Amino acid sequence: MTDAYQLITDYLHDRFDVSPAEITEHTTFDALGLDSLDLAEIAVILRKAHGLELDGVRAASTLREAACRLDEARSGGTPA
Amino acid sequence: MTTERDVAVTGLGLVTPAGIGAAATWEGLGAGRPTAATDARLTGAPVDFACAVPDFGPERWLDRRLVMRTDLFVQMALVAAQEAIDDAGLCPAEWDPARVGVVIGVSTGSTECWAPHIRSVDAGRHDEVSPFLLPRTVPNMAAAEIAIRFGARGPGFCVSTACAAGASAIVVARDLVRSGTCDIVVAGGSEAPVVPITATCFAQMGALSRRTHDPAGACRPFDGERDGFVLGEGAGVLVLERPAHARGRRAVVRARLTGCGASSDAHHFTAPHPEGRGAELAVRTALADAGLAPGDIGHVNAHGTGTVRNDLAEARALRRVFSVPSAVPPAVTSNKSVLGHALGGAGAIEAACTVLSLQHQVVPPTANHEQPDPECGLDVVTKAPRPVRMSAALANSFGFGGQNAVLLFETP
Repeated sequence: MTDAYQLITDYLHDRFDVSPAEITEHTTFDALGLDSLDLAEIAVILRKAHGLELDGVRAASTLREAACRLDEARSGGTPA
Repeated sequence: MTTERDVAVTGLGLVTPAGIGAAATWEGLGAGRPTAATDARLTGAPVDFACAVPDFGPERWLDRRLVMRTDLFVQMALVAAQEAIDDAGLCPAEWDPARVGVVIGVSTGSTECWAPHIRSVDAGRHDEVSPFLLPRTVPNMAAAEIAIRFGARGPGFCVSTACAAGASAIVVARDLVRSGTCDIVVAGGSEAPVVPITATCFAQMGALSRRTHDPAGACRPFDGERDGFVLGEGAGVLVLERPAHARGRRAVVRARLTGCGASSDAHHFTAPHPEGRGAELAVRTALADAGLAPGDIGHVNAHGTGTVRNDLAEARALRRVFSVPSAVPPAVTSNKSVLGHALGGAGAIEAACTVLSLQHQVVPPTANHEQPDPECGLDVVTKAPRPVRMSAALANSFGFGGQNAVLLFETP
């Protein structure tokens, strides 16, 4: 997967104590026990540290979907 | 439900600058060594020393997600609560959650956490404000996170009476048990005020000792050379229980909480009433509540901050109640001389230390009490722990705004 995917999984591990064994592209945030407030926190961290917007990602989104959104944001694409 | 007036203390938990756990704290108090030292967190502040909890390392006790969403005062409360619940021999999976309450006193709560977020807002970067900021910093989160972690679904409160908060929380908890509302209440106080803004505020008020050249000698309760208090941090938690409930599960009762006295000076927003009017009322109320006379009290765990005004007002109140010098005066000590002042945590930490004194029949010394202030005129324990035969002891706590709480414990 992309750098964006790595970025997200790193934060999940470092900040949210998610074990790497639990993380796959198809895992949803929900399944990892993260809720909308946690996602809002991740969005703030990504915005401050990398200037990236995590728009349109919900607790039911998979990590792959979130990484795609970040890649779109990074490439200046317009998310749907 | 039959109610009993007394409340059993069946568990203690402490996180203090003398160490993590009741045993480490008791040992540190017995040694009488002040824990005050220059603190890197206060570099540049007008007073740059404090009493810090050594090597707290929240990740040792709590998972990283919980650490990330909580402030230090919540983390220390959780660790103290765990020890108290274990010490009481309670298994949260087996208790009736609706009958268990949590009351934790907090004074300032988190203060420094807000700074970067306020700067973001000032710069128009509102989208950088953490959604965790409010839930991380509001003072009620100590009690809330304890309830969440241990599954306590009865009443949950944060009591905020400044430096008396930890003791006031125990007063509220006692009433929940005595009234039959709860079988068990996890009660105490917590504070993590060793941050530049809080230290600076207290320094600007003139409340902190300025002995930056001698931090260990800075807190001098009831000493003629005292010049202010020393910031501390930590948490104290007691498990209070209906005596019949404790008997039913054959719990070890460490002490009985038989009297509480809460009062207000109704005088000034920071200074105590110069004659200790509110303090005296709280002590007399606690004695009456327990049905005891002043002569029954063998030990007073004083508020004893080491400020000129507090110590004099407290001493005057105690001298009137105990008719010093005509009666046999109680042995007085101030744990703050060793642990510093943990604000909302202090009253609960000192309540736990008072229970330990009753259990051990020993009063730990007041550090730095070298030239007794003749105007105070109390029997202060100095230099070494003093064995005292006693069946009852008081713990005093007085907060800014003149809000006072006195707890009276008796041997089981």
